[in-house]
Amino acid sequence: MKRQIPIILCSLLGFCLVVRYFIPHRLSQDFESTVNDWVRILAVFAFVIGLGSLIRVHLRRIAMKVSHWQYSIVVFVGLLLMPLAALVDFVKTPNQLASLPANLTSKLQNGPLSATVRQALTEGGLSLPPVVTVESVGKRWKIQEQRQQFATDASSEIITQLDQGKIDTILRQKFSVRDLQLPESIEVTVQSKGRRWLLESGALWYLLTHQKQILTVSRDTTAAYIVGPNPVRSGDLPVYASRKFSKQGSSVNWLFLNVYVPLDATMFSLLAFFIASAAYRAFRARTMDATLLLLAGVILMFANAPLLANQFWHSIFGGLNFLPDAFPTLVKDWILQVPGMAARRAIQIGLALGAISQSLRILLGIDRAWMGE
Amino acid sequence: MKYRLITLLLGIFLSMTSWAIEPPTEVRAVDVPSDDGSEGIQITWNPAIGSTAYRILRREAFSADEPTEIGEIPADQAEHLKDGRLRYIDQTTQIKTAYVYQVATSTDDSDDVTATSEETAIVKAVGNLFHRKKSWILVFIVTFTALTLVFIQLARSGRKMFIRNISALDAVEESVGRATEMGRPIFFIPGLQGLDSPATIAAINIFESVASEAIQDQTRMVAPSFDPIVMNVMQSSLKEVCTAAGRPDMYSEDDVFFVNDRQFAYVAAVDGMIARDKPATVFLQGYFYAESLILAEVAHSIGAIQIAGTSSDTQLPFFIAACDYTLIGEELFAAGAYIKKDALQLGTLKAQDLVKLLLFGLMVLGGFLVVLDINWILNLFSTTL
Amino acid sequence: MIQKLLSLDRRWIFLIIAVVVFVPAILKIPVPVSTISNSTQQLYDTIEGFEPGEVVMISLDYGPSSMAELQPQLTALLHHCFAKDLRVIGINWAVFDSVLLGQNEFDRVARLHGKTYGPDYCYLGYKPGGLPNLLDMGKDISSVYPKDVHNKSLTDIPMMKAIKNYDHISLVVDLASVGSPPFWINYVYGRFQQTLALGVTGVMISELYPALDAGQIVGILPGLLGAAEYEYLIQDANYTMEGGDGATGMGIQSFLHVALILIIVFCNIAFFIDRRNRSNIA
Repeated sequence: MKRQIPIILCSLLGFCLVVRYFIPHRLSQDFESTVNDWVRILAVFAFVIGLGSLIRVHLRRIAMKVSHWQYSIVVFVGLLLMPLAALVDFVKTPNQLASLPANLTSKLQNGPLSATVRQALTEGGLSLPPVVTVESVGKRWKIQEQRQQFATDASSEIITQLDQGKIDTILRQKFSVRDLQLPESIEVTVQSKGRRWLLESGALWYLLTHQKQILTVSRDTTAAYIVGPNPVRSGDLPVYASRKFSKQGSSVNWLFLNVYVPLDATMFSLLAFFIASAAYRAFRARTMDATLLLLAGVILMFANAPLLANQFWHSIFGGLNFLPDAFPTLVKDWILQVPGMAARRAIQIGLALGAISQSLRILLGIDRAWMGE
Repeated sequence: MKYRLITLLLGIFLSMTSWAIEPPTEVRAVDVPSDDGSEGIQITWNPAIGSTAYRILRREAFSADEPTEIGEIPADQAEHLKDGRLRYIDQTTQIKTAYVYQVATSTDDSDDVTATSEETAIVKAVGNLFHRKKSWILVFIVTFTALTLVFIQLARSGRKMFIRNISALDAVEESVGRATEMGRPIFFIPGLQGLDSPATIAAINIFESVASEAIQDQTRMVAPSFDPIVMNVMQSSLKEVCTAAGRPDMYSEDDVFFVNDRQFAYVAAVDGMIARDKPATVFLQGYFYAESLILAEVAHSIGAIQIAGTSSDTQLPFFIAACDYTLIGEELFAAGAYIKKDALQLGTLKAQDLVKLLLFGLMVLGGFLVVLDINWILNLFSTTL
Repeated sequence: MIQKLLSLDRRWIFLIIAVVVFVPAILKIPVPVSTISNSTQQLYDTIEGFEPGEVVMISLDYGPSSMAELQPQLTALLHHCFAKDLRVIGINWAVFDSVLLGQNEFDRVARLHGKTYGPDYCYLGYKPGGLPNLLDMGKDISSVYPKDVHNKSLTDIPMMKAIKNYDHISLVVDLASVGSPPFWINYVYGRFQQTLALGVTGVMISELYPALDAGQIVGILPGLLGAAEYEYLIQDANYTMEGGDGATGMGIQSFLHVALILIIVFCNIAFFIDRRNRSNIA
């Protein structure tokens, strides 16, 4: 009975789902939807089992110090790193924006800040540095910290260079001749949040409510240059400085973007090397079939490389008027769409019939591999 | 006389004006077939001469309300059916609510002067119990199942079923023997899909057969799994195989384990295991994605024999180029029957082959018919209405 | 000697490939394309024919592993859409790995064109559910995505106020490295007659040509080559001055393919010499 019940359940449910395919009625769709929900729920429990297996196996390897047990430590480091990062994000300095009432948050985000709003924010626990003045200098803006002001009589060529952020040694020399010290310009972290920019400059974040492209900003805020394509009068630019707000989820995002994404891309890129070594082994004209495979592969590689399909081809065969311009691409497309597609369709038909046959064996209870029998 | 003339002229005038504005005829409203009721109701009618636009009017069948206009189509944009009738589909209906419809024509001359058809019979949008366009698919499935049952019966009656040699499966014994001689384990990688994939079930069939040979030769089988449920099933299989072979001591839970369910993380882990444990034979059976060549090449680099089989037609070329033996196409699904030589399973293979022959015949027939411009066969298995 | 060449240690081949890939990558040697495939041109022409304000939905169904091939396609499409003042919706239907990648790219390219989040574009992210989500978006997008990726209600996003379902979307583009295209074709085109286009990895392109021929999709971008072709088209039309990864990628791909062809030719020459030597000995 222990064996019969799963087989009966599997066959019954399987046939019900096959029959359901032909019934468009809403009840039939609801049935499928319910089955899908059950499958998702079971997948969660299955994941718990899998996780348990993973932990058990690797703990045992570490405990018994089997060969290469050190890699099991790497498994646990990987397993725990992301949840720990999420926990750190959750526990560390909370997002000050999130701790404020919603109406104050929107005022801060939308700016400008009136004195009343600043007072309300300060009372809400958010300390704000004083507002800094902004002055537009031709096409540049300057956030003035009331210390150093930049000269406005630079030539248009120099202004253009400044606009484009190309502050090189020669430009610095030119300015030093005029006794003007260009601040050290470095690339700084910039985060965009829709129409807003969070610009880190030293210990302060500058929250700007206009979209501009930021190229260089000085480190110590003796002067900060925000260079943009459209000049804006300083009166139009409500700029204020605020404390650095920690962004929740930033550690997890950093780990994802800087660890997981490069690792995933690296593993995929190994294919380039392995394709080369496999091609060296397999693409030999031993038989007619192998020769055809080799020729098709070479033609496709030729056509997919613009250097070969365009420049090289035109330089050799450009004078032959009877050949169309994109001849390699046409041949490649023909190989893919005609013989290649024919072969794929034949294999797909065979696979589909094989899958139907396999499924029938399961539904009729002949094949019990899925039970572990 | 004079009055007769006036009456005659008036009659001719009236008949001319009424001839210019005709109501549509044979207006019919039916539930859209083969749907769950949400597709609505389709209204068909014969085109009316002189009409520049059609207005569709609807009212609930058992209410006293006046009909309301639910749509208007210019005559030149109305959907034409093959028999020349026009069609409009009302998708704003409520399921199981009874409606009646009328179609009114209007002309360029005056929108106020229209001709309205008779009311249709009462119609409701309901969910249907059978999708008519899938009839041929049902016929196909019933035929396939019937043939399968026939051949199973023939197999049960003792009839011999011939199956050609599949070199990749003939090499299983040799590769297990090689692993035994070299004292190295066998790796079995069951693909990157779950138990809902036929390819994974086929892979588990092969796993059982390989495991039974390996256990008898006292060779260790290692099966890193991508899916926890597949892991459980394979653990259960291995345990049964060890018990049946009288070697329950050879079963270890650590040999069939879950790795992770991220594609390239799984590949990185398995590649590392292959490079360190240096198996003599690597089986790559199941459904694979882009990582197929990475696994095959790493296995080759340590000198292992690779026997591969996948139902992914995009990865088959990589396996054919890189592996020693490859199960191509439906050979993967035939493997279980081939190795076990189970009569019932061989019977299903026979049915599959016969259905394939029938499909070939249908394709050849279809090719001839299309050349003769008879195209109904092209849409035989199409499910769109 | 010939035997040694025929059984060359794979590490030499890896070294050759590494050099051939790293040098153009570091030197950023762009190889522009001059012939545009029909499938890319058709997609370009479709978007080119749209009026300002029309809506394009882009579904990012790829992970970080395929980012190198498909992200340049996304960038080129976004440049085109924003330059033509089209409104763009970003979603991840099948794969959640690329939510951050897509979001960052949307923000970056939008900034270059002076577009703002909300009126000009929005990003809805990933919702588990699979096929029902595709079908439900045909009735009401907000039933699948009640909020965007920033947790903002769709009713608060200016552009989404007028967009309810596929009827209000002019084109859906699926950038896929997984098996999502057949679902978009069978269900979204099949049921809702939605104009559909695809951007896929090179290995998937051949199975989608029948859909292009049948008119089920208006265009396909074939891998990195498709991205390079599209970049050429948009740069030619001055929609962007930014150099894309497609052209640089073509440089790497070109040199790599040359190297592979030479390796194959070389090994076949060695093979034939070896065979001739064996037959002479025999």
